[in-house]
Amino acid sequence: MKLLLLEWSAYTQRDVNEILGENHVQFKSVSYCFKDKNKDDFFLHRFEKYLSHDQYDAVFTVNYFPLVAIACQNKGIPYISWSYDNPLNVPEIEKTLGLECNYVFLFDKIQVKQYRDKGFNNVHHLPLAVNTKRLKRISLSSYDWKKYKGDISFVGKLYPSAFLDLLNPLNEYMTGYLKAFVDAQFKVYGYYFLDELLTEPLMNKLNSQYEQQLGKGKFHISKEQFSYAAASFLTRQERVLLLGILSKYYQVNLYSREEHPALSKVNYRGSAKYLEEMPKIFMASKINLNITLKILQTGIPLRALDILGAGGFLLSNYQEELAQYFVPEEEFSCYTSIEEAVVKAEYYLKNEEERKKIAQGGLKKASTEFSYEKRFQEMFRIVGI
Amino acid sequence: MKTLIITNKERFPEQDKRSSQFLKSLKNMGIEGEIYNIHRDKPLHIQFLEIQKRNAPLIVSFDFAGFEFRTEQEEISLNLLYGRIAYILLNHWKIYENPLKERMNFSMFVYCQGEGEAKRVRQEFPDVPNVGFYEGKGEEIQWNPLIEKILLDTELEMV
Repeated sequence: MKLLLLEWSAYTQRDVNEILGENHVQFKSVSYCFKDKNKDDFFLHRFEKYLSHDQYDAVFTVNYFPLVAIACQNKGIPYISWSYDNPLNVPEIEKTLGLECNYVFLFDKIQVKQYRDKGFNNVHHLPLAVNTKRLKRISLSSYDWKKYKGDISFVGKLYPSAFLDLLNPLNEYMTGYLKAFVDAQFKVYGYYFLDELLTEPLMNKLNSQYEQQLGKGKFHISKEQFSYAAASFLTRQERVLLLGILSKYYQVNLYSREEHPALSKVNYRGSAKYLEEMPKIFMASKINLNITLKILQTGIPLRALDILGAGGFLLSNYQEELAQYFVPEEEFSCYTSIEEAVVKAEYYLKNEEERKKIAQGGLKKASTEFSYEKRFQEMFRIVGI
Repeated sequence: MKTLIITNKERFPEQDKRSSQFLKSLKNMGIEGEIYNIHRDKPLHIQFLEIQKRNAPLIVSFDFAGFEFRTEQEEISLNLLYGRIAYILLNHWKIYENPLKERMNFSMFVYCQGEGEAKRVRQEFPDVPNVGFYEGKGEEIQWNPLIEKILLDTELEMV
């Protein structure tokens, strides 16, 4: 088998390459930076030419690129994409998603079902993976322990959101209506019902109000954009609230590009390098939080696997697939409310032995069931190469 | 169309003259250009950000100047830029032989000193995507035909 990998500095790229190499899968790598994922004549023309220079069984990318799909379709070569982003952040994706050459692997079951319900049968469910072999090679020096230790750590964005700005031009009734649903969504884990609320009539009403307030043709928002704004707003709220409460009682380290004024007691550490620093943070922290982006309904986010694969103790919001694959309170801990998160944090900080045992359990499961080898085996079986 | 020329004059003084000659030819052809020289004393990541901010559709590097910029994953930062990059090889590019074996950006174009060297580079570094050559050496380098070749290969319009 020979693959062509189109790379773009994805977090998981190095692990993908390492495991493919270890398993004697031949591959060639090139990279490209898209300004517009849907239009780039230079790329399309050159990439198709590049594909003709050698024999490839498939092209592989982390995340999905419509122009790669078009090039592969034109050349009759399978295109495998495995996304760790959700949402996919590809405008007008449905224009190319159904191309015959495509094998699109997504890690959230609901997202897969949504596409399959629309007739995209080349979209498949495949949980993400973690390279525990690489993580085992990382050890903590006494300097690292001093630098990264903490009661509770969180590595991630705070999700700045335009949601409140989007509400500004709307009338009182509409604002109240949307806020009520958003408030309700905040309390629900494992089901993102906001998407169902955003019907076509509602979106038409929203956009009509924007037109009235801002002028004709000045502003229009799609359901996906509004949904994402709401989801990121909710996630931001949850992250700030939980970190704020926990930091009143415990040492909480935040690794993020952004600070927040409400988090005055949190130790802000700036961003963390994915490959070298992040695993050390997880190893040195007693508890590692995962607070999933609300729009991700069932899937196990990459961050959760990063924590488990490093042998860190994971305290996560409830995610259906996390609870499906990992045993709660034996291989990770989960919460279904802010209150429960605080209670569990207190409990596991006090019960060190139990906490370490759970972390070990999570690592063992991640090593055996979430390896890249296992995922590639399944992927190539589906693709037929 | 703006062209950004990256040099490492402190290390390779020859690049000073050649980049100035290149810039002069660009201007004579009605193309805007600017030279960015890598400084020993300034943090590399800050210099890369400065280059990135310029958003130049065409970057020209002499002897792989700019390969010093690395991502946190230790990859070549220039590969992350949107835009075409033309590497003009003079006499000091061989210190970057090892990086040439790494993954390269599709929109990377290499111009060697003569057809013979281009053939050697293609053989030794088969993963380098687009390898061409220019005529002349030193003071004899024919800049105008090289610039035209770069614009044609990179499919950029001369505006």
